[in-house]
Amino acid sequence: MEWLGELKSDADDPELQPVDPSVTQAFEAMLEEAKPAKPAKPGAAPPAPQASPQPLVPPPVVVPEAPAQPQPVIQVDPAVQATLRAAQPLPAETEGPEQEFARALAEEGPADPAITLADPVTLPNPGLNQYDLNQYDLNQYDLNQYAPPPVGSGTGPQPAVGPGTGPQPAVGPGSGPQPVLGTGPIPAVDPAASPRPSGPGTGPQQAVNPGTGPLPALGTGPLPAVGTGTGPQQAVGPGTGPQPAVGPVGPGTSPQPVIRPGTGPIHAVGPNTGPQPAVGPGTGPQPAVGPGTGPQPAVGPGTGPQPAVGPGGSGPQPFAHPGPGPQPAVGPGGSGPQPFAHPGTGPMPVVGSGTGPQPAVGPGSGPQHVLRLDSGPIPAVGPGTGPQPTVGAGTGPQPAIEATGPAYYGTDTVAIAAASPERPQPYAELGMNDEEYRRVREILGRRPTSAELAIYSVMWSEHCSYKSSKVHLRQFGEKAPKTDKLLVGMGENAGVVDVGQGWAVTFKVESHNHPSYVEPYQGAATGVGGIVRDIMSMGARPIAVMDSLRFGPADAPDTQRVLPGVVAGIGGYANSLGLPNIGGETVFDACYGQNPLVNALCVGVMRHEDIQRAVAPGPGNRVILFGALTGPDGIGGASVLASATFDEESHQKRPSVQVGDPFMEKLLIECCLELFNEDLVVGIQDLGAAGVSCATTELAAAGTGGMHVDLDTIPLRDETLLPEEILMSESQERMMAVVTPDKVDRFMEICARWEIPATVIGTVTDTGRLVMTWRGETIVDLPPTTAADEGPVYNRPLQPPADLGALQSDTPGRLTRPSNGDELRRTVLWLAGSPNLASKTWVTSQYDRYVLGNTVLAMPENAGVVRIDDDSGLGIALSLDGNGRYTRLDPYAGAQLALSEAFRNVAATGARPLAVTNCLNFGSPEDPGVMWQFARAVEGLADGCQYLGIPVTGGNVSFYNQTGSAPINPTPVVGVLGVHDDVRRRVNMGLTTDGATLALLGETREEFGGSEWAHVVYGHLGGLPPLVDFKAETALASVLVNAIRDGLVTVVHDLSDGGLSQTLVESCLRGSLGARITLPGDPFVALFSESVARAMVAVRPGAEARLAALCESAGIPVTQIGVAGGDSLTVTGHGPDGDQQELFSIPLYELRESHERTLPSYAD
Amino acid sequence: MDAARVGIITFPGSLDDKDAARAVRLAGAEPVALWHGDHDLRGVDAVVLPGGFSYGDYLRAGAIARFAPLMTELVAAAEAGLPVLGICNGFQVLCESHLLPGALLPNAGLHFVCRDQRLRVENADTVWTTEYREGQELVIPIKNRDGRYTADRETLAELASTGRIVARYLDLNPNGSQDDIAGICNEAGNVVGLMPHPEHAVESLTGPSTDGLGFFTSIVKRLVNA
Amino acid sequence: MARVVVDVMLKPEILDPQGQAIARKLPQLGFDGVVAVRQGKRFEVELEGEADEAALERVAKIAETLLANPVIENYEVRVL
Repeated sequence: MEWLGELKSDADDPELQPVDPSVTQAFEAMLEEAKPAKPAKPGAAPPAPQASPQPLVPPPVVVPEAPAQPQPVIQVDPAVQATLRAAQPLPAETEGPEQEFARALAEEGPADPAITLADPVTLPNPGLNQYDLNQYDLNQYDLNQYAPPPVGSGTGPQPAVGPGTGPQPAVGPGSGPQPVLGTGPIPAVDPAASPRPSGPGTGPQQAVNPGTGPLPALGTGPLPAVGTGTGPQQAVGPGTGPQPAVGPVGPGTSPQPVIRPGTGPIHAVGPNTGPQPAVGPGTGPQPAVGPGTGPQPAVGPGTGPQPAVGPGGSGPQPFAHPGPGPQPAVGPGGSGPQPFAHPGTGPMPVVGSGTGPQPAVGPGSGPQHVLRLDSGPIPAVGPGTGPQPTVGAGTGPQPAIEATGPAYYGTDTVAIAAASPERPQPYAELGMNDEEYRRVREILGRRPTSAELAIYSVMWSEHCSYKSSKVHLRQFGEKAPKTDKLLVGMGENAGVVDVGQGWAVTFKVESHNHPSYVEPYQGAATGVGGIVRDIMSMGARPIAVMDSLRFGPADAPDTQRVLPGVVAGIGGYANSLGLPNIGGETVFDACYGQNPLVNALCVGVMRHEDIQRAVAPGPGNRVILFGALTGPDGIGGASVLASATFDEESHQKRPSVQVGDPFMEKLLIECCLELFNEDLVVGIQDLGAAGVSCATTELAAAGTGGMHVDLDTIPLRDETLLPEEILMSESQERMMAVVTPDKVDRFMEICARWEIPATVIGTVTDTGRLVMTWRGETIVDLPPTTAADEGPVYNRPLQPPADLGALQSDTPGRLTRPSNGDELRRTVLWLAGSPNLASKTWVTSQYDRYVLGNTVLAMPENAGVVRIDDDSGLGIALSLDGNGRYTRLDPYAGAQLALSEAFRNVAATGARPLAVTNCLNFGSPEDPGVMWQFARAVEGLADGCQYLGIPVTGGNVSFYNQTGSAPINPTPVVGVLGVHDDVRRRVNMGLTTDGATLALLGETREEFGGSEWAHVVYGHLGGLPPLVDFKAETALASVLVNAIRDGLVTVVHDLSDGGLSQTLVESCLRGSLGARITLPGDPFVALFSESVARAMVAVRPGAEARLAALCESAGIPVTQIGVAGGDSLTVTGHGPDGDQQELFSIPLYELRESHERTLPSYAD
Repeated sequence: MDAARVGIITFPGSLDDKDAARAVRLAGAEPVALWHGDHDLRGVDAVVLPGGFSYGDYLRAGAIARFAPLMTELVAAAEAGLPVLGICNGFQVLCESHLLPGALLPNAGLHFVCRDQRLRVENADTVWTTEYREGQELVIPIKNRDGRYTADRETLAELASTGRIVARYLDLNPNGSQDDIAGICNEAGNVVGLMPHPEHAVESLTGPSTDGLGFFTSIVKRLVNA
Repeated sequence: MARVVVDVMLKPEILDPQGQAIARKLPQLGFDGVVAVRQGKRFEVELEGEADEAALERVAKIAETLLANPVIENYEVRVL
């Protein structure tokens, strides 16, 4: 189609100015400035293109706050050296076939970097011949025999880590590739900076080799710094503590340190680094391998999970020896030779739920095998942990587990732990890296017991500790606008705001993304259950839910698998609880194909004095666990610690999917409200991720600081559970309360009335320790704040995605536009029927919107509105919005645009926006590009909230939403809560009054970057998203709220996705009344541009002048665009030849047919 | 004159009990909370079995609630003429306890359905429907997963011929109920079961209409005049 | 310990959309030649004592009273 319509000169058209690639550089420049980086003025556009374009250079890896201190010197303790020297290889007669084979390999000589791994048998792999961690021969491991690889990116053996792998390895959070551990005293790595992500300038590590004499300090001497063109890394011997991270190494760097037996997790190695450390037996998780990387580390027997290999052109794959843990997954599409899976090699890594980067299982990834217990611990899988194979909540098929020999030492007590410091512990398989493990030992002054290890591993996981996001999320607190309406801020289960008249409202949104991919119904259902319990634990009665759902393309087979289950699960659970679903969104985009997003929101209400806290005050108070019985739900990793007879049968009882019981939760709600009503509780916490571990540590940490728990008392569904399993169980529908002794009986009575199991499991103490006993022995004794509050804090590298410049340059200005009435008509119908804009009734009719009898507005209205007080009409409005495409184009603006939309939606019902919650859905934090998107989005959201004067009260972060190396579009979902002093004054969005004047408020610019039009018609994503304008948003909001309160308008509908066209379609269909519209300016722009801060209103007859005055004093442009009436949508405007003409007319029945037939045809 | 007292039974999992109470209040009567575990109807003049998911709909909707202790007294009272209105889950309990014939099966579409449903009042003579006239059309929310009414041929014929069908769906049958049956009553006409939720159509602020109020004003009128 | 199984099925004349949905899905999954599917429920009841006639009768009573709704369902009882 030829581009007609109003021609502009190219110089005028912002859409046609390619965004200068140096926009990306500008972002970088901001990042590189001394922290804190200058925040862009809220509402300001992203940095404008530079006047003089600069050539695009590969961005360096930027690590904010990267320390510049010299590397510590590693000294070798002569006594240790002597011990090591004396170590002998295992006698031949104890070698099994694996050991023999490995020894044969070792004897073949040093690795030749030029060897491809096509023939796995020839891979030299030192250090494979032992399983006993204490025995090895260091002399084999002289890395000086390695020749440096040729310099140049992508040449020669490349290190196993490509983009997307960052400082973390493929398995377990924070357990990333670590440098080889040297012997002797641990270099002075600052524990507070634990685990140090890879950063430039961290310098090479030295081989600690007995007999090599005094070692040069790191960073000095002949060893090059780690960075572009650095030389070989040195091998570090076994049995040493964590090493500093090896920084991201530029192209052509040399081999990384060899990892010997007994070494812990290896630091991640940056992109394009040399060959990865070979890993000896008993070593931790291997580094993940990104695309384009060279030979992978070989993995010896008894090693932990193998590195995942990224998709697309990786070099030869790691060789997996007999008896190692799960095999590396190999990405789809052109990966190099697959790992050779020997008999007895472990299961293939499975894509799991709630887990980090999953190894994709590609073709040729080998058979499944029985995992022998002595071949290494089963990788732990827990919620939110890094890439996990197998067992755990919501993961795929489980490995068959066969117990072969006792690796179980009996209950691991504190006394035993103190007496056996050297006992190896599978902390890596539980997702802890070496540095974290060392910190735990430091905290406790001894090695942790299995139970304590379980607690720390899960409390310090990404999901529970927010270690990758904390440094950024702080901004929500630091930039929080001052308001006396915030009664409980961030950090609690949910934020609480004062809505007036003595009422307080608590609300929060949370994700349950990965479980919903694995088991859509239960994943979504338990997600609802979890967020509802969060609200309950604040002391509120839950009164409504909302959900924001994102799936792959609407017609994709997998969407047809996932969507109906998710919707049925949300409906099934919330309907059974008696909570009305008042709104949300359902969005389709290819990027969510294997990573659907299920964000569930719950809102609750209470009187000010009823607010509860998650504290455990007062020594002597009782700790009561009530709700469902505890079973083996989601414990995966705990089995590693405790399994004695982990045979087929016991394996089967590890359900990988948690099943929700909404009936139990309904009983819990009623029971809790009665408990609160009678003031029987001084502290309360719900059990979610990490079950009892989390609830006890958090309650204890927040209270008097001490607690004694008798694990024997916990009522079990499965009597064979071991204490570690009990601690990690994620059985649903459980709460934990702290009750004064005199109230315990009454507490129990109420629970009995509701037939809810309730048990006193412990007592609050003032010892500052969380102590737990099992069968009379102490198995946990730790300071709870260290687990609950003092988890690791990462400062991961940030770097704008390499393709961002090109993406932003690819503006939609070049796309051909509809040029006449017929084409416009077709476009209106096309968009109205497109999956994202089509009617969602198929989804929303599966939700009960009426229960509790207080729902004033629900979908598809602008926001959900619920009455709180029957007499005064006090109520709240809630809107939940996000836009992954906008955020992909510009994360800072995209987050602000989501905030703007939710803010606008709330105001469009007549409510005053008050507070914000958010769910931040992103890819892997190990990908600097993703981390950069996250940092920018959080900054944008924090800045925006600050400007708008509405604080973030709480929220949720979901990382690792990606498959292979392709993350989802960064998708911050923002919920805004507003207050209606009197809900009876609210307005709807449907046209109902024949003859009503329709007016458009706000300014329309030519903005199509990330628009629905570009997406639907062209599948195009490029350019920049619409300019953010918070000043205009606040002005519009004030006009709307005042106009609605004063009765000047009878209908309000905001403009967002799909522009004015979609707003007209929705308002006409909702009210079953047509409209006659005259468009100002370019009809295409008027209809489909997605400029912010706009709304369409129907004016009450006679109120036109007052409305105009209101708009003028607020600085909001207002234009009459037409009149409601008739049974068609009739649009007049400038035709192709410039004259005003009727462009098109669409009868309502045709509009309705387009709009309403889409969804049912894609799903059931 | 004392207000009429209408009892509302709460089972574990009942959800719309408070909404029923609101409707009773709006109609001018006094709602009385009754607990499933008691054996005491507290002398109420009429009883509402509210909507919800009693016992999680385990086994079958209403299958367990019908054995609640209070149901002993309720069945006896109903057989003696006490007005009883079973809404949604309440209808299911009434069928399970054989106070009403037939059964409620999963919706034909196999989905939970929440919609504003047009109904026609077929019988305006029961104590719960006197405020309507026969043939009157109402818009009342329906929201359930197991709303498909079914009975054997003889029962259906009898229901139709004796005017015991209280309401039928119009325009669209949301669940596949036989004969588009939305509600029925017993022979004596004091026990009515209804799938849609009249208690959610009593305020224009929160419902699609106020058409549901008639069920509650009917009983109030009857009780006051009794 | 006696284990008795109760199979509960909808009466033949009752429409079973769940079974129909399953039957419709099977060809899509590559299974041909399936004429019809009807969905029911199975209960496993563990009793003290022997699995004799008396036990079967008791379970039949349980089935009649609670496990099945005789208005719409038939049931069968057998020893496991």
